[in-house]
Amino acid sequence: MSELSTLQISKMGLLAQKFGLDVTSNNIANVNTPGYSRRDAIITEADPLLKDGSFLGMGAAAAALKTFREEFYDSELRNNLGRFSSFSSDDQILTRLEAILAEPSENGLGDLTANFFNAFENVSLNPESVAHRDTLLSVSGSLIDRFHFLSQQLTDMRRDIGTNIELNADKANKLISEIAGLNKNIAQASVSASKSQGVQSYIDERENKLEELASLVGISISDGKFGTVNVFLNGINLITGSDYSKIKTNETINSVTGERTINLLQTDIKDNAIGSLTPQSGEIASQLKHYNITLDDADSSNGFSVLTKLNDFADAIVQNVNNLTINGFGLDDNGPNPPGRSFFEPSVGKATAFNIEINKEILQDSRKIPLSSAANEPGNNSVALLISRIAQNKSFLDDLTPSEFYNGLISRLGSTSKEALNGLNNTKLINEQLHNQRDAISGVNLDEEAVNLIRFQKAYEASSRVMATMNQMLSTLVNLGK
Amino acid sequence: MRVTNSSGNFTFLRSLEDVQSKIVKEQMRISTGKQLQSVADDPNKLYNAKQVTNYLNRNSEFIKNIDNAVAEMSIASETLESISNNMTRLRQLTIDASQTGNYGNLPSIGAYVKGILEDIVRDANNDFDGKFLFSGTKTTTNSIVPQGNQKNNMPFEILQGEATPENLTGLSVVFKGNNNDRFINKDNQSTEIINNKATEIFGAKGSEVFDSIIKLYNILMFDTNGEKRNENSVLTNAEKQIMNDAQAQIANIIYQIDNVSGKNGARVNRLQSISDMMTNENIRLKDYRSAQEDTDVAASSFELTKSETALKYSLQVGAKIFQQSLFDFIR
Repeated sequence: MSELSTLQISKMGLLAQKFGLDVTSNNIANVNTPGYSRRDAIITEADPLLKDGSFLGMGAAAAALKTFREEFYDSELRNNLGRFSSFSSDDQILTRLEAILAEPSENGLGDLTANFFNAFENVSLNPESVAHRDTLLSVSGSLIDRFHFLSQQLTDMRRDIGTNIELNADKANKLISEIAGLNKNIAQASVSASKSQGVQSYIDERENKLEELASLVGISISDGKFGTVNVFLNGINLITGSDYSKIKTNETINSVTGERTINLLQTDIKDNAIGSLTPQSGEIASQLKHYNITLDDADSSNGFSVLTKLNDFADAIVQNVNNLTINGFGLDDNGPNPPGRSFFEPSVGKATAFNIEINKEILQDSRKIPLSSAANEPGNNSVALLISRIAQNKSFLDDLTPSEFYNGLISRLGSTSKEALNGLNNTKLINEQLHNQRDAISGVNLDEEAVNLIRFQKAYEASSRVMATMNQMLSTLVNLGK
Repeated sequence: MRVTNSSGNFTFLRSLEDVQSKIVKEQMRISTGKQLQSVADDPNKLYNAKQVTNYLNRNSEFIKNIDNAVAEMSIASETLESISNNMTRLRQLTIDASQTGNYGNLPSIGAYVKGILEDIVRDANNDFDGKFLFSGTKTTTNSIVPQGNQKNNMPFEILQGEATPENLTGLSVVFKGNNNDRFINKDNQSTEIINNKATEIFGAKGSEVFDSIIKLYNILMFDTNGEKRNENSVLTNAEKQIMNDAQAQIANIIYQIDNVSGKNGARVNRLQSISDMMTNENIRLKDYRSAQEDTDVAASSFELTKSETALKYSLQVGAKIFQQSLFDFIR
């Protein structure tokens, strides 16, 4: 071996340690990059040289870049993210719903309904008093206003959710095309030696996108060729390698019930529907559930629909009260037969939280409120007493009293909210654990990187020293002849 | 297990969020006094609390109605007592008029009887909170419309008509109300009548009593020949008999009024006992509701202190963790 070969060995050492320093600095730079998996410089001994029957080492070489990534944790995280996003969306929607219903408080619909029936009890003491009748109208107006407010707010909320479903579908489509694009890059890189160093960055980026997509619709993954992945939504293939289909929303209206339903469809690249999709988890799944059931004003699924229940409640109040007032007499009704005056409108057909109103005739003149069971008996309060008793009438709606029905609705909303909150907390904890476990393998530890930094720095310095030594030796040799 | 900076941050942040949200929750509980801040806190307790609130409100409404009815019935009772007293005075006057020594005072006794008639009519027109006590379901002046020679829209009115052989003074009293019952809900299941009918107090058509008084008045003012009495008028045996009959009838009316008054008092007692029962029930219900929805201040204060301590130490430990890494020691 010549002296120059020692220089070569030290040069290879310098390059290998420099590679190690680059990898370490890249890890440090990406310590806070989401989805980044740490790299490790694999430095091996350079091919030895056979000299006089012995193999002599020829220094070190940067052989490869090792990436720390565990598919098991990625897959578990994706699955959990779908559930987590679903619960998180449930929690947000139900919290907003709770705020709209203003429960528990003394301004909710339940208290206003109780006030309404109590107002009939009050006016029964002074059925001839116009002031008391006007108070009854005022209390009834508050109840009507509350119904209208709830209907408006819940309808607006439903519209917002519908818009969000559209936006999320667009976001999902963007992610789908990006994942397919990354699949293509990964496949090309895996068969091309020149591009293979960058493949891990693509894989990390794809994992980020897959997690985002899982948060939206809940997906499952299988391995494809050349490092690609196939993506499925509830068993239906969305991405195969670089090929993909898209999703879109489609709103249908039932011509009989008027029920509006948003469905998720799979489309080809030209936007033609090729099948329907039913996500089981993810934000879109939660939003579809609340749009199609919870906030549906004409829900036919027998699910827990708050707006349908409120409409039923409004209708039951209207029917129960009107059934009594149409047989009653106002202060000036002197004819032999009752004038058939309803307290609420609509007097025909189903009333809803949106269309419930006080009869305009009554609203203009409270003397016309039919509180008496007989003509020419203005002090007769029989109808008022019967209406006030509706408050405790078990056959008001679904064999329940008004308060039982409404408080049951609130209680069920509470159970659903609690379920969502528990689910959110559980999946949040699982998320944290899975993140920590995945980070234990692929995350960056700055202390560890500091050690590596010192390690490679010291080795680099040593190789430099070898080179300096060889330089001195060569100088000595060169100066021998002088 | 290998611990990374990212997982350290993640766990630290989550712990801070958890402990801060616990602090906010306990602060809300203490400041509002309500354990249930959200429907999701405890749906069953919330349902119970809301239902109990509903019962409480209903009971309070019933208590208010009953108290109002009791007040009205107490006024009715006092009025009946006043009428009864006037009738007793009338009876005494009848006895006085029948006595020999009072013969010379018959017209002045008659004037006194007329005054008592006016007092009784005034009592009969008594009202509570703008509602007439004895006019059935025609409780205000708006619902009583004067007919013919009637001049006012009160339920009972003394009319001065033409003199007839049967009614030499031409006086009469007319009842313009009706004899229907007025009710209140005393609970969820049943009602209670709160008024006294004019026919029960004043006899047939609500005016029989007044007819008897007027008959007495007529005898005191006119003799059987239709001549107006003077200071020297004396009662004939036949007239004495009429006076005795009138006295017996008045005694009977007093008995009748006392009966109505007793019935009224019994109703007041019954309603009062229901009101007391509901008041006691409300106390128990409030106690139960408090257990369902009110903050256990001691427990919440303890939880708050615990969470505040946890937050303090989390921040201290977190600050120390993030201060140091190996890089701090590389020189």
